[in-house]
Amino acid sequence: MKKTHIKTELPGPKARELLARDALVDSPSYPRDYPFVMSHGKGAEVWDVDGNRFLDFAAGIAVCSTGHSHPAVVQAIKDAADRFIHISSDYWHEGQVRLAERMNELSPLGVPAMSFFAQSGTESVEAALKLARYVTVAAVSSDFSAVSTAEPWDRWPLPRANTRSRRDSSRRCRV
Amino acid sequence: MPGVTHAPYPNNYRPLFAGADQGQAVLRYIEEVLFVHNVPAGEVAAILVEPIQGEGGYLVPPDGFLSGLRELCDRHGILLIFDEVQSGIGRTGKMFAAQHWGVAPDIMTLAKGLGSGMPIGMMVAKRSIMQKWARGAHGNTYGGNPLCCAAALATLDLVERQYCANAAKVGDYFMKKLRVLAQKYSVVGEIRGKGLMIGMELVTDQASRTPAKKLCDALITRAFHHRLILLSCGQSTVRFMPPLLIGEADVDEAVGLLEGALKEAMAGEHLPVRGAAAG
Repeated sequence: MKKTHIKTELPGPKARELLARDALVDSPSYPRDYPFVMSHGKGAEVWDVDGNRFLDFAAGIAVCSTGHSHPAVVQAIKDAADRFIHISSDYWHEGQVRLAERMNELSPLGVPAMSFFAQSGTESVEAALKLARYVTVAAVSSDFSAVSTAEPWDRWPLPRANTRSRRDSSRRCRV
Repeated sequence: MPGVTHAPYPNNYRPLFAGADQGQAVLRYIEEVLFVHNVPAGEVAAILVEPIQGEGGYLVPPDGFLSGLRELCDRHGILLIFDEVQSGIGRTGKMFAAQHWGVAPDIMTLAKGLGSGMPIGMMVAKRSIMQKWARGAHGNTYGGNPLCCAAALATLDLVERQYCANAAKVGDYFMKKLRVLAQKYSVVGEIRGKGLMIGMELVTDQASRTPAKKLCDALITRAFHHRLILLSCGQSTVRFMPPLLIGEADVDEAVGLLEGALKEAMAGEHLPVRGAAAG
């Protein structure tokens, strides 16, 4: 049986001090249920700023799949940060292509898959709805290129022909 | 959201429709009510569904529901989108939750567990569909951030090699332990889930199945004071979504803390702490 790691009342003095500062400057809109003020985590354990240990069965809303600060994940982030932190999706880099390739291998779609990258689930769903509408919608503006990303590289830069892509003309935007 | 029509998620614990199989009932509702009175099937671009419902209450669909949706979509030429944001990346003991039923979507969305905490989402589509997107049709600033991609690649390796199978094994153990609680306490209505995506629905008593929202809120707070971090979902469901690496000892510890918190929450709500039934 693990010993109790509660060292202070909850929230402890350091947590209370931070909660008071937060109340003045952070949005009250967050749906926070109880005053857990995090210091650090390891695996499925987290500690608050007063040194109290907790078992984390929420994982940041099902996010920390490999636990808090898994060494392999931390190392991968550090190595990437040493090279560059951001370039934008206007350019190419190895990590993005590798991840899309990896997803193509793992994908349950049963056929070759492509990936669009976002920052959150909301944006991923938004992108899915946009794609679904795009490929089924009828009346769309045709002043953009219909050249697909599968266009051979020897035709770079992509021609911007005013051609319509192949879209089913019988459907409106309904999802 | 304009242009969106909602359909209920099948819930055999709280049936909305007549009949034992709420999955088939929802499929009939879509086809015989929505498509007839609300939106013609020919105008529907896609049906978007979570293979296991998340925020709505951790609902596991009845067998045959997802395959029925697939068949319905195919018949009407509608795209099927699986939202695996919460259920994907090993959470349910398979890499993707829909693999429990062997149903393939046309498009799938991911986030949450994918980056182990780094903010990344992916929308994965059949190449035949996504390659129709023209250059400039959709883009963003941060998409494909190298730190996020690196974290996701490391995460996928760990989940595929180790944690996915662990989630299946430890999840089964966890559910068994929670079902023991359901035998002991009449306020524990239903235990449901797959792998380490588990919901425990709280009710005023098992006979009435009335959602016990205040008790659920109280339990979440009392659990914190027992040093267990939990969140709720739906109306009165406690959800368990620990890191996929936990072992049975972690489950034993958590269930012990949970039971202590539950007794306190019940006392605070003036609910008798008693066995629901013998055994």
